[in-house]
Amino acid sequence: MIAEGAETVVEIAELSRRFGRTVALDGVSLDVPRGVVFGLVGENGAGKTTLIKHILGLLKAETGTVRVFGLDPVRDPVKVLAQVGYLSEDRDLPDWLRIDELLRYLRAFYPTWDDNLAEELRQKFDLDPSARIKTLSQGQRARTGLLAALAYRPDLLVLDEPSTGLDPIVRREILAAIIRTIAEEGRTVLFSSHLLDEVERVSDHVALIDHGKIVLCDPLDAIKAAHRRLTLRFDEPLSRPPALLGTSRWEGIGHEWTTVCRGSIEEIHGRVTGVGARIVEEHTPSLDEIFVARVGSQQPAGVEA
Amino acid sequence: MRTPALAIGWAIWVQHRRGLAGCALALLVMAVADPILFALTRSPAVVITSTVPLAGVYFVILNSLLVVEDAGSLSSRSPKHRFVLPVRTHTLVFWPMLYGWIAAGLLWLVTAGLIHWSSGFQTPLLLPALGMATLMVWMQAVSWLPIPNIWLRDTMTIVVLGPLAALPVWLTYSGLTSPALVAALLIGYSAMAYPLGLIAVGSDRRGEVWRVVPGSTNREGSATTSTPSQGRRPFRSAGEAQFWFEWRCHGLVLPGLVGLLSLVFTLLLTEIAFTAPRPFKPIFFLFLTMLVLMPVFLAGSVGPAMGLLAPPFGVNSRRFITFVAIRPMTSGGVVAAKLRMAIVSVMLTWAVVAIVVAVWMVIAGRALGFWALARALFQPYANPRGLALVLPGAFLLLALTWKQLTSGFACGLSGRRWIADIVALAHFAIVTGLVAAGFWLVNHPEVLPRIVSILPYLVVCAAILKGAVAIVTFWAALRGGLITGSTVGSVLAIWLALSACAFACVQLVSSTTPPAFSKPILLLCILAFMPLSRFALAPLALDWNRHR
Repeated sequence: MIAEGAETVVEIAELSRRFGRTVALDGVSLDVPRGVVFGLVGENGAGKTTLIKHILGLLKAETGTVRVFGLDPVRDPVKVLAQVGYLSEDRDLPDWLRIDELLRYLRAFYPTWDDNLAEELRQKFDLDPSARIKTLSQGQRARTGLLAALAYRPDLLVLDEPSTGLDPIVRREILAAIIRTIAEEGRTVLFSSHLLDEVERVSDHVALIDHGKIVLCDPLDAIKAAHRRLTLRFDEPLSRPPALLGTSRWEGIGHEWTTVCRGSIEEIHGRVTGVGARIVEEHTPSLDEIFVARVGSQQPAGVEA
Repeated sequence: MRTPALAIGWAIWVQHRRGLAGCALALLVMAVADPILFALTRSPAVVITSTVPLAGVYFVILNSLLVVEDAGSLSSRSPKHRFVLPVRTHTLVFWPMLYGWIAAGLLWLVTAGLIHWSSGFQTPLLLPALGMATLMVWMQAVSWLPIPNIWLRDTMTIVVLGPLAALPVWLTYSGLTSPALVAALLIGYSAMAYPLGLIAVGSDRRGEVWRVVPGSTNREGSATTSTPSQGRRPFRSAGEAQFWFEWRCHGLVLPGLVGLLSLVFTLLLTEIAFTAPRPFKPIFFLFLTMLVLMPVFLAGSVGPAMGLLAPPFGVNSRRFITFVAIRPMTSGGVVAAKLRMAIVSVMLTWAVVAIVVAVWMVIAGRALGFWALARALFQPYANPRGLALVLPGAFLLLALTWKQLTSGFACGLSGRRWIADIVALAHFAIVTGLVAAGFWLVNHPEVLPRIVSILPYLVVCAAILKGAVAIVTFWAALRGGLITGSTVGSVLAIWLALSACAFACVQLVSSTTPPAFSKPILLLCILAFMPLSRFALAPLALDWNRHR
């Protein structure tokens, strides 16, 4: 949920999109407030890239609306794109240019282009300006794309799977630091990833997308506070997972069963007592555990709240 | 799939099944229609026209069987995804080559057996079939070579394949050897393509690149001390940057092609000038005419590829859109940069032609006398009407080249393969129809006056259609904010100026020979011919591609 009065950078309402028979986005509504790091997580093919492409105006909304800085990115691409930095999943860069030529070209489009920042990032990323893009390794391409997206200090930075191709050092130390710095400057970062530990490390807000639908969208702290990982012990062994409100996925056998449950601690305790079990272990789940619990496809029978 | 061989064959079929099925259908139609057609008439017009769809079928089938990364591209090398398959390089080379060899040979046999022979043309079977099969495997081998430079590859192809192909052709037509020996030679050629393919794919599989000049081998951790864009003036505007981008992608394509072909013509001309017996003058003027027409025709050929947002070689141009699409620039701005690039490219092309003409004058001067040649060339224009014609005429020639070059922009910018295919098919059908109609008219000159009499109506219809398309496209582009009112005004002014210029030229020419049509019809004809809709259609196409 977005706090009252918070300025939203991206507003999406009831956005749907089909590709042939496939429903890529199904009534997605989403608000991204200014100055946050917004993580978009979901399985492969869940609709993350499609959503991002709508934000950039690369795809036109079939139904619903998309507003970025209050503008329609399809009708006002120039005003919107001047404030958006984008690193695509495919790292679309012109192979036939050199890195210095690429930067010279891009510089002309952005009045806010910062030569010092570009040079600082280039050195940090260890990129040779005379190198032709087609000769770069996957990691170097990712870093070049990141440099191209950052050097004009965009108000909204959109990163589609930014970690792909980046080594752990760059990913943990540089990318995370950059993302945090941008957010601290009051700018906004929207990034998609399926590396949930990374999302958990840097995000303020998280939206979980599954089969084109937003199944969870809240500040990370609120999401974690609203879930508990429990191990329950039953007096009698159970042959199938117990029915407990707020759970959908169980692991275990016989007397002991483990799950991630939604709700406040008091509510959960009440429900557990109601099914004749006692809690033997309880802790705050990781985002990874919440993700698996919410969208895990191989679900044993249980009760979906 | 039970074996890699079957899997490779199946993959070729799956990737190209529509094209191959279409070709099979076309061959069947021709097998039924051609014998009926040739039973009625065997005029050269019909014979020549009937080969045009056949050429299309050959083009599609041979391209499908290349087995390359980017279907139909002679420079895209062997498909990368196959390199990781747990099979030996022999398997990756042998089976595609065998399939290509058999299919190309069979294609000729089917064509000859089902179409030529049943139509009463006893075309030879064995040698052309072997020739086709050999050509196929050599095309495969050459297209798999890991040579990054397209020009080098093409030059090498001409240098290597030209003499190789010439030998069996010469042996066949000279009658110096028996057909069996020529067949053996072709089989030997086919066998020679295999080791070349093996070396090419093996080398590419190991990640090697064959360079004439060693390029920068960029590695992680390379020394990096210089500043980005160091020493280069920043672009003053986004429009200037986009123009530079377009120039890097396409600017030298047309001048380069014209220069390359001119070089071939220059070598031929030099050879003729220094060795051939007289008369040299008609040959020189024929070459000169071809040189002057060359930019216009080549511009029409390369135009659709120049409509894309990436260079025509080495990258999957049609998919490369996101990088440009996310820049804060209107679609109209991107198109304007492209159109400006086309203007400069055309001017450079004609500068190349002018230099070539000067060189030819020097070469031809040896045979004809330089001043005599200059007089022959320029004397017809050494009068007020001639001088008045030269300047607008030259201007119109440039404009015509630009028109041809930009005619495919909207198609390319739409990013839709199916549109490109439909347009190509339509052009193909129109050319086939015109060739057929032309030949038919030669044999039926009595119909010509009737056709001339209905031409004015056709011109009026074309002008009305053009006007309607222009109104709709400009209205849509204006409504979408892709172009501004002032742009429309400028475009209309240029369009009218060009039309007036063309009209003046026609008037000057027709002052000596009476025109076939009235002045209003001539004017309408010119207005219909001058480019207009593309100024709105191209931004609309790009916008359609940019916001899918």
